[in-house]
Amino acid sequence: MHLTLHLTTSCNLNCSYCYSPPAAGGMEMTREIIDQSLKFAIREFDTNIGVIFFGGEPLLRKDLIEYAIVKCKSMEQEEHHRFNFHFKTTTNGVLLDKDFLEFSRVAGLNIGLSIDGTQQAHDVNRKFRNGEGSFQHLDKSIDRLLQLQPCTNAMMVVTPENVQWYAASVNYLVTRGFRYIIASLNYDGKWESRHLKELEKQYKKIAVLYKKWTLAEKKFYFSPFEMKFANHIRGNEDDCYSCQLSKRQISIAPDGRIYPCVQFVKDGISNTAYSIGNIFDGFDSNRERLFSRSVEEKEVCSTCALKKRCYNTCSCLNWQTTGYINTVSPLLCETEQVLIPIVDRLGEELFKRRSPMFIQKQYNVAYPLLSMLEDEQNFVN
Amino acid sequence: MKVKPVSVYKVPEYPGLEEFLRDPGLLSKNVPANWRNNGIVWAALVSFTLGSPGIACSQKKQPRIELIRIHEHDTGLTIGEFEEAGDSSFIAPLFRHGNGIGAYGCVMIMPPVFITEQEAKQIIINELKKEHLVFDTNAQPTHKVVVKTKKTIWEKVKGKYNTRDTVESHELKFDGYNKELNFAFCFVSKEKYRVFADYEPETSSVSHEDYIKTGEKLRAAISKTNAVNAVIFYEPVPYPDWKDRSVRPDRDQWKTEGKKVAIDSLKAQVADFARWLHAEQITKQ
Repeated sequence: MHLTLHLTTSCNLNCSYCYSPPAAGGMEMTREIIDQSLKFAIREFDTNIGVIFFGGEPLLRKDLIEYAIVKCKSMEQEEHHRFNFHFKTTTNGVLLDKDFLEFSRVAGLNIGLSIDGTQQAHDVNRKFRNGEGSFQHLDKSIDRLLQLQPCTNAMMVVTPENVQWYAASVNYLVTRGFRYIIASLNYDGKWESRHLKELEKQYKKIAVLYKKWTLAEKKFYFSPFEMKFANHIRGNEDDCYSCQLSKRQISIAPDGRIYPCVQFVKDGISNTAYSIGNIFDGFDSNRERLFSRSVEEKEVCSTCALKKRCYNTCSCLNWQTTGYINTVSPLLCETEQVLIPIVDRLGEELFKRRSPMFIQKQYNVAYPLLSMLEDEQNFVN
Repeated sequence: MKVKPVSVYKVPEYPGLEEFLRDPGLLSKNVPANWRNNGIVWAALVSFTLGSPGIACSQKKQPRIELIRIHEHDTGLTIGEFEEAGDSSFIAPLFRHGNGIGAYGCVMIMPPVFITEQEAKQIIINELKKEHLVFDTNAQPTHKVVVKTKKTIWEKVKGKYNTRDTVESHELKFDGYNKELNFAFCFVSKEKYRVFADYEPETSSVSHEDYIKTGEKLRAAISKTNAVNAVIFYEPVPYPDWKDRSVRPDRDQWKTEGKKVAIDSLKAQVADFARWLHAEQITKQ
């Protein structure tokens, strides 16, 4: 189970695609809310709890990150490791300094870096309030970050404004040393047919790179492709890749309200209709109501041959783009129809060539564990 | 833009998991070179997916050298081998039924299913009774077994956080004892794992628990006493049998089915132990 703590709604950047721009004055989480959130987590969930620090920009509140981790460690030790906490944060990287990286190493805090790829692709959207791009401010931290955390996730956002550099950006990130690339489209963007044509062209270029790296037995993870391979290969199990709207992860707003996903928190005050309880009283009936609505079959998709390959089940994406958690976005429909055939042709070729890396990664259910063992060996040596 | 359902889509020509698993050789023949050259990954690959490793042990009274070999299941080739010095007491081998390794955290892995310590004790006692072996759950051998365990403590020193390795000593309490045979048994449960496994903080979202490794560690500690005869059973930690399934079982269903598999594996460990006792002439058949 993952618990996302929205430590602050403030941010030091002004990204054009932000889905949670701060309200006037901003909101900050208190230490009391952190304490209560952790107590709530060990009361409600299983023995392995992921705590994710989110914002706004969470590194604006390094003090709260430190406080929460110390609290978790002390709870683990008091209870003789009856449960484990593990920690992640997603940051824009501007405040990643040597001290914080050292702290994250000691604390076991995994850092996900929001980076859209090359400088051009990044700076077109990810800017400071004065309009200056932020790439150069995080570029200097990347080598140090990858040295300490070789499995750092690069979190990319692809928009109509930077889609032309999508393949170049993936290539850049892999060449730079990132092995885990989580790329999402900004479905809220103004996508036109020319952008969709460009997206198709870029996916084809990425497929060429993917093939080259996989045949060379290079270990990397590129989310949109991996997910499409997986939901063909593993069929109905693909539910294990979805958050299941509050069943596998929840977000805690600075005021202690619980939301089913990060996107619903927004500025922390304006979207309480989607709150599903609070950390003091627990979940309310809204949780089951929203979940039931999220799993209803989408009438419009009922006859679609790709319905089991498609992200149409992602409730926060539906809500973000259509205003309803069970109404599918036309843009999603278009982009999925571009992506799936390209991934399938790539899968066919890699399987035909009996690529060992492709076969183990996609068909061996123990791959994550084996991969982790290999990483542990490599990083120790 | 409008949502436009696709009426026909050609089934991709790379197989789904069920079809793929009909040819087990596909997984064993196509292994990245880096994995073949990495002993630990290769042994884990064999253990998890290419078949269960066999363990051959000789358990004579001293002088005793225990030779442990790990074989590749389908070819029979030896892929790992190590020696362990023996002692004058009888320490049964670990009877390998069940993976003994659990993983948490990654959504791609089914959550492990555990047997509680009480359930395990009852199962073991009942199975041993069937072999006319009576073990008392309240009795302990006279000689104490103390196990040293490495724990990593997270602390703040002079304003900076750091980790510090410490060594703790804990007495191993056996779960059952037969005074006549001077033989004790111990089940490596989730609770015992927390006490006796060497703990290190996980820095990945996937964390794993190795009950076999901890079982071997306890065997070594008992062996050093030269005074206690013992057998260690361990949490089997089963996984769904992917080869027989077209769809992954849901989590609640797996909790029920997995429990049954775990209990059957534990019973098989006990049955092997009873056979071993007879073979070693510790009991008369």
